[in-house]
Amino acid sequence: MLVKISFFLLLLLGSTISSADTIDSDFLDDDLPPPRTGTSMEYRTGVWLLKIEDVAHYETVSGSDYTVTKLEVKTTAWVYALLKGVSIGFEDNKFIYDFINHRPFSFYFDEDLKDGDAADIEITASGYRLKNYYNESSTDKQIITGELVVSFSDDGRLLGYGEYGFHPKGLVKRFDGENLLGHKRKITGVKLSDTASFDDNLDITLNGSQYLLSLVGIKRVERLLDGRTSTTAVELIWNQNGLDSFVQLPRFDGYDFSFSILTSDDEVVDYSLTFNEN
Amino acid sequence: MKYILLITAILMILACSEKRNEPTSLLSHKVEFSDYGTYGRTLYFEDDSGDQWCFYNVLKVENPNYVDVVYSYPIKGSCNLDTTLLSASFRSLIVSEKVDGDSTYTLLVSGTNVNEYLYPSNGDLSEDNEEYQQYFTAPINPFAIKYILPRNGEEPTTDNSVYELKLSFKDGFLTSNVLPLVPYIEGNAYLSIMVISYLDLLDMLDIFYEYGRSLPDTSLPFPEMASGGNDLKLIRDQPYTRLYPTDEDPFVLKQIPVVNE
Repeated sequence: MLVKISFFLLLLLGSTISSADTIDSDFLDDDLPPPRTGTSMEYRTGVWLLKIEDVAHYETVSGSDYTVTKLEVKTTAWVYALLKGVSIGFEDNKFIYDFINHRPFSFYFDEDLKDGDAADIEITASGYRLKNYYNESSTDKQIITGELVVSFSDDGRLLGYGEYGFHPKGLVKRFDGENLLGHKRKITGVKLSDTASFDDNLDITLNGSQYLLSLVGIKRVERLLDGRTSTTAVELIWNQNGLDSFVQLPRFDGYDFSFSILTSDDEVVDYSLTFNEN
Repeated sequence: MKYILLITAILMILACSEKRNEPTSLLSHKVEFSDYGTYGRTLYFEDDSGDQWCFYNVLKVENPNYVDVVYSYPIKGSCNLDTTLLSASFRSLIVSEKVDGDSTYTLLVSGTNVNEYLYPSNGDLSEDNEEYQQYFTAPINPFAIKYILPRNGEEPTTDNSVYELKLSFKDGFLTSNVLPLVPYIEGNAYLSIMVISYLDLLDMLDIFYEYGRSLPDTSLPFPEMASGGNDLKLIRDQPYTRLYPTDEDPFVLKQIPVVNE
């Protein structure tokens, strides 16, 4: 399982294309479009367009005089994300899902790898709650270090807040290491599809073909070192290998998302993620 | 007066919210322990057949960032360096430290990186050491030893745990609650049948994992699944002696006094 996760992360990491200063990313600050007409909140599961705003604080302590360097990382992202049901069986060559007891969203941002493991999801009447923790071996206790609370409304929107403190996974090295002290996250979202990406659904297509959605979108990462802006990068989030550079910048058209890239073989490939009419 | 109270109340609320927003942290940069060095000991255990095994255990605390714990594979009978030893080194990051009393410290540690290495007999890493070269080129499953580490039912990662590593100095010796792996592997009968080398042990654990058998309950980064209370105390009480590593030989197993049980 770990190998599979690692492989997936490797793909993900290998596919983020940094393209600083070339992409107009101002739209990332806009509000999301309204929920797509025709979607239902009978179940929360389906495809969501999420806007994620994350502010993380890192600190490096170095030298014999304990010089402290502070780093603030602001990430703003628009991503398509799938809220999946839990697979509870397999019949007639199809998986059977429990859509009420769904799984949480997965993000795979840098901070998600450093803020700890999540305990089992808590499904509530209004949404879900996800707590991160570490084990204290001496007392065999689980210590909570952070929590994400996501609430859904009947009109196909969601609002989430996460707050995370220091977790041992955020420790690179006590001295001369850039350690994550904590981060805060705000998530807003609109529902785009009730069943897209499930076996018998063609709500969403990639270049005209059915597409099994994974996290895809665009993010802007601003790094402020000791309060000064040092770098801003805009990256595509895309679970594919071999993407070298943009030839057409990512853009949203309604709920659709498209971009073109130049592969390492000098081939221009257009990608268009399209939501079909209901 | 009303405005003063109102402004005071607003300031108090802002102060509270600001304080709440500060990340609380386990992480501390206060350095207490300073007697850096490399320490070693030999440890013995018996399998269910009554046969005695020995292995080397090295503890390296050389900087305020991390500690290394090294285990050699168990040798049937008494410890000796007549043969090439496969050993595993576990590195854990120090999160914080505190003084617990006179020459007694607690290091809160987390995360474990495992490095396997071969310790050549007599420290001879040259091509002339055919035994060492033979082992060195032998395929070793790099993941196998990690399967020692997970808690029941969890992925084999260890950075989701913290452990209080106790270091206490008395009469020139160091004692610590570093616990060895081998005596805690589930079922010594299994060991006595299967394990004739540490490579066998690694293979055995790999099978455990593949077939979904529950692994011994380990509290990481050092196993704490003590099967026998008396044995556990004995191991905790077994002191380390100070070693003097060199650039060529950072673990200096040959400096460890071999105590025959």
